[in-house]
Amino acid sequence: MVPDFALRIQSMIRSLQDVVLPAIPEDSKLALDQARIIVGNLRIMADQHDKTFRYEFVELREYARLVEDLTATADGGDATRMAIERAKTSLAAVAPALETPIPNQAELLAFVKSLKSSADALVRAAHEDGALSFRQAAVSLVMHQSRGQIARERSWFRAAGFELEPEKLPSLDEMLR
Amino acid sequence: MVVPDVKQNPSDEWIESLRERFPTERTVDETLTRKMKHRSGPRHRPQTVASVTERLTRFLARRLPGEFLVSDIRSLAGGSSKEQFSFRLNWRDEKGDERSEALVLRMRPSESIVETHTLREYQAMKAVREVMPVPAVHWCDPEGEELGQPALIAGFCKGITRPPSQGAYTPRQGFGAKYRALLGPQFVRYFAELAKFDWRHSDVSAFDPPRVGSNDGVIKAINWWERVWEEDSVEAHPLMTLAAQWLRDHAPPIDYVSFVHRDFRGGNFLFDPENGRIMAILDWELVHLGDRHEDLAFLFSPLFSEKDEEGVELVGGFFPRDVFIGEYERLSGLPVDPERLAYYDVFSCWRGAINALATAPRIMMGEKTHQDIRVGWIINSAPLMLSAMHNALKKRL
Repeated sequence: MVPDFALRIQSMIRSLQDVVLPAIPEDSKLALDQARIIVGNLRIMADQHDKTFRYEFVELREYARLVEDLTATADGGDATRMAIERAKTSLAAVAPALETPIPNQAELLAFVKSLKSSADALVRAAHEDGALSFRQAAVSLVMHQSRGQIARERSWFRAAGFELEPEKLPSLDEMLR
Repeated sequence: MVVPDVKQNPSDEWIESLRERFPTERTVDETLTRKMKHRSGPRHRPQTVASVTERLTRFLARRLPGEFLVSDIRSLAGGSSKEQFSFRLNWRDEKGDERSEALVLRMRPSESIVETHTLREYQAMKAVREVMPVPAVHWCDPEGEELGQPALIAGFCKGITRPPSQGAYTPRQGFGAKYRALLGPQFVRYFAELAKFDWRHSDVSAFDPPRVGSNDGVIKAINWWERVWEEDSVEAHPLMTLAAQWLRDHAPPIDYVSFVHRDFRGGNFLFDPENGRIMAILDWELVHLGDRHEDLAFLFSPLFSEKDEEGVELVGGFFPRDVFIGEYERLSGLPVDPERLAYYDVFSCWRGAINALATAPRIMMGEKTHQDIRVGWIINSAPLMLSAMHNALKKRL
């Protein structure tokens, strides 16, 4: 996806530091204070934005272990027995997620880029010396795939104000289903 | 194929290989080569007002006969590519009379959303002032040898680009019925004037005029932008490759060579809010000599369409498409060929997508402009341009 969040956040920090902050008068203490806090928050977001999913996953594993350990040692009356039942239901629900191997975001981006490059090289090769059937198929397949990509990206960026009728675009949830 | 390190730290050999693969106009080649040779350099640091004043004073001292004073230097907002300062110049002319004029200094940052040659902008503005309101251009430092960055100095024009409104930047101006009625007829008239303008008696030494009846100039233009894609893109995009192949295979000959502004739309002219008079057509940096259909196709992009109070779609926010074409043909005396217009529908969206998808993120990565944040915003327009390009291509493939 172009641009990624890191690049957007970097440009926001730069704009605040190079243009906005120097333009705020020294006696506007509240504005200066809040602008600096925004820069600080953006730095934290730049650090965290591609790791939040992994962070939640680490937390999920950690709490699953805690609940397993607590359940294993739990002993007592009705309240304890009810809590054990609820805990076992929760553990059963999260078990498939714990077993699913999930690449981290950087790996995922690298995989996508690599496939885009491969597809692009095939389109170039088809035009250069591909058989007629391959050339025709390449055109048809790229047009089909890009229709889906463009529809998804239009929904992704619809809040930016470039669309004439953004309300007619499918929601992001629909596009990412 | 994306090789990020090569693009961020390009070797001389790689730059030369691009020049050989994509032969284009001389000044375009110079500009792009210069960009790539500076790519691995430091991030762009905007000049301070003090530094601009000092350089400007030295620059003017070499050009004005007597005493002068530079004052009221202020940075200007607006535009996504050039760094701009307004200032006042007081001086004595050859007769000793006191003169005073508000001027604008337009400077190219280290890299910009469109990398262009200042002399082309200067020459085109000077030429077309005969037929439309354009800021008077006074001086030009095409290599930035004296002003620190390639720059030109032009007259300051009063006016606004859109009725005052709130919200983030969008390319639609929201003129409304009142200003549409006032501005529309002037806009189409100047649009037509540009197409029919006879540039052959003007100084166009910074351009390589294409030949009538040949598609050489179109191929050079494709080479220009395909080279930019190769230099700037951050990831591969098979649809962009497909479009480039189709454009190259179907490049039409030019029947009449016109100045093509390439960004002639609402937002790029100033008007007087009192009477709706267009005061100045701006942003000539992308200008070239080519096919008039390119300007029409760009204006007809969905990015600039608006709907009137009855829900009718207006190209450029002014007229229904057929009405605009009819008026344009009548005023210019030049025909609009639907086939070539369809070709330039694809070309204009492809070029726009190169700026948004490739150049914008690339210069943000290197922090090469004073407008990273605005340039980043332009990236959001890419899906709409790609959608229009896909629709236009689908009908032709």
